[in-house]
Amino acid sequence: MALLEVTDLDVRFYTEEGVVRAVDGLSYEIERGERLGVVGESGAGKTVAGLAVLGLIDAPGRIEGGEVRFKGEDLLSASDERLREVRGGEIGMVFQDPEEALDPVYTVGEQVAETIRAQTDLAESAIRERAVETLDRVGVPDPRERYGDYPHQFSGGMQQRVVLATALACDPDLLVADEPTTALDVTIEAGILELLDDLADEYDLAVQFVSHDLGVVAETCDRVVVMYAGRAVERAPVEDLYYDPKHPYTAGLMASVPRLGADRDRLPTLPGSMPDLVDVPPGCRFHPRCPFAEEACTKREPPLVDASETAADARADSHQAACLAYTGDLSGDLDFEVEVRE
Amino acid sequence: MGVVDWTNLSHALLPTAVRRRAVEMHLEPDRDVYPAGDPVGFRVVFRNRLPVPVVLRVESPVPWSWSVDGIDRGSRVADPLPDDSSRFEFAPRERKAFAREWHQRIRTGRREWDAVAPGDHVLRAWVTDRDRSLAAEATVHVDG
Repeated sequence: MALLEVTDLDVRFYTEEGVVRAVDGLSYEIERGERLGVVGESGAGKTVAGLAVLGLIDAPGRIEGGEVRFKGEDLLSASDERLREVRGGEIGMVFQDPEEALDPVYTVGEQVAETIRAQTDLAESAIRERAVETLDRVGVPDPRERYGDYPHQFSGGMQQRVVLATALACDPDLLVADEPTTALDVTIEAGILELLDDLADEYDLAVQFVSHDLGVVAETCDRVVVMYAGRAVERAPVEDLYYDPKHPYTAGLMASVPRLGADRDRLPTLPGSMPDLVDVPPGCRFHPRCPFAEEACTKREPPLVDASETAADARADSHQAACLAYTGDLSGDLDFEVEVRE
Repeated sequence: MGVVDWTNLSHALLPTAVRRRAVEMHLEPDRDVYPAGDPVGFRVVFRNRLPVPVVLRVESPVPWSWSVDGIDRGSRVADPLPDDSSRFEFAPRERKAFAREWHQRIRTGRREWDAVAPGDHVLRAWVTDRDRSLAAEATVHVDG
């Protein structure tokens, strides 16, 4: 049994514009200690998928179908009280902007302590001690002295370390990290990613890492799910995905990543934009942007199927892609290739 | 002194029939004739004709819907809107426009769509209130 099993998740938002199908039939699992990257452009549904796992979808959004099982327990039918126990206890959360995540009128130490207080029966002195230890663990210097400082007295990078401390204070099994470094500059980002890596190794922490940045995911994750317009279009171990993408969308994303030593004047870009999720195209949702699209792609939605080239490659963590090229319904071939220079 | 909630006040004072007549609705395709396979773009436009706020009580969290040739949202796969009531609110003389594209396809299964035959096709949109009488439609022609 995987630590987290998400099956056929369906999240919709009912608005004046229409029904926004933010996540549509999404399935994935995360094993203990595994780091899963969820990547895609803005509006692909990655953040909503993370919020659904945490039971944090608010009106006008609704989870309309599917299952979210954490250690075998169905979280979608859990009570609010049970969900509060799970959040901050067994599942930690880190969001993009630390300034929004931290309360400006409480000291950082109090904010870490509050998480521990909500999840344990420890005495006040023990709570404070554990909060200091957690701040130390995430690399806040002089944690005992800085316990009483307010968020505005910290830099952005240090604020994100404090957010990590609140997420990790109760030794969760899973961390949902939604673009945790997007608001930080690159040198600070590298430090946070390294810290996340160390903590995940040290505490056998599983991570659902949501990002639009393929480079960051390549460095951080074991496996990757690529999302497009609310659906998973490719799932693979990270190296397979980067060296041998199977879906034209993933290949397009890869081609648009700048690489050192490349001799191109301009980076290729994916033509068009993500469809409006109120009004997704019929068939394959990527077909209006796909250079390999055929008539069949406008009439049939491809399921996520094994795209391994040989039977020997097909295994439990196989390389899957949602393209008619892998169901035998496409008359042409996908003739893209990705060149990786060592 | 408390602030007057003009939306609630107008809702209380205007009878349902007046409110419905206060809002006019149009369905506007971006063309009349489309080559086979080209997306049919259309806008559904609502306008409150009155100088006071108007609220329509609707039977779904989505205040309007559409069909093509009588097929709800171009799909034969049942996918009903939730039947929770909600409000479709307009400020005085407010105009609201929503854009849609119909790709000349009818959904026939969970993962299957069929292309429509060339000829005339009727697009219809309506407010999701109880009697669905506030509606608009337009006919577009798909070339063979």
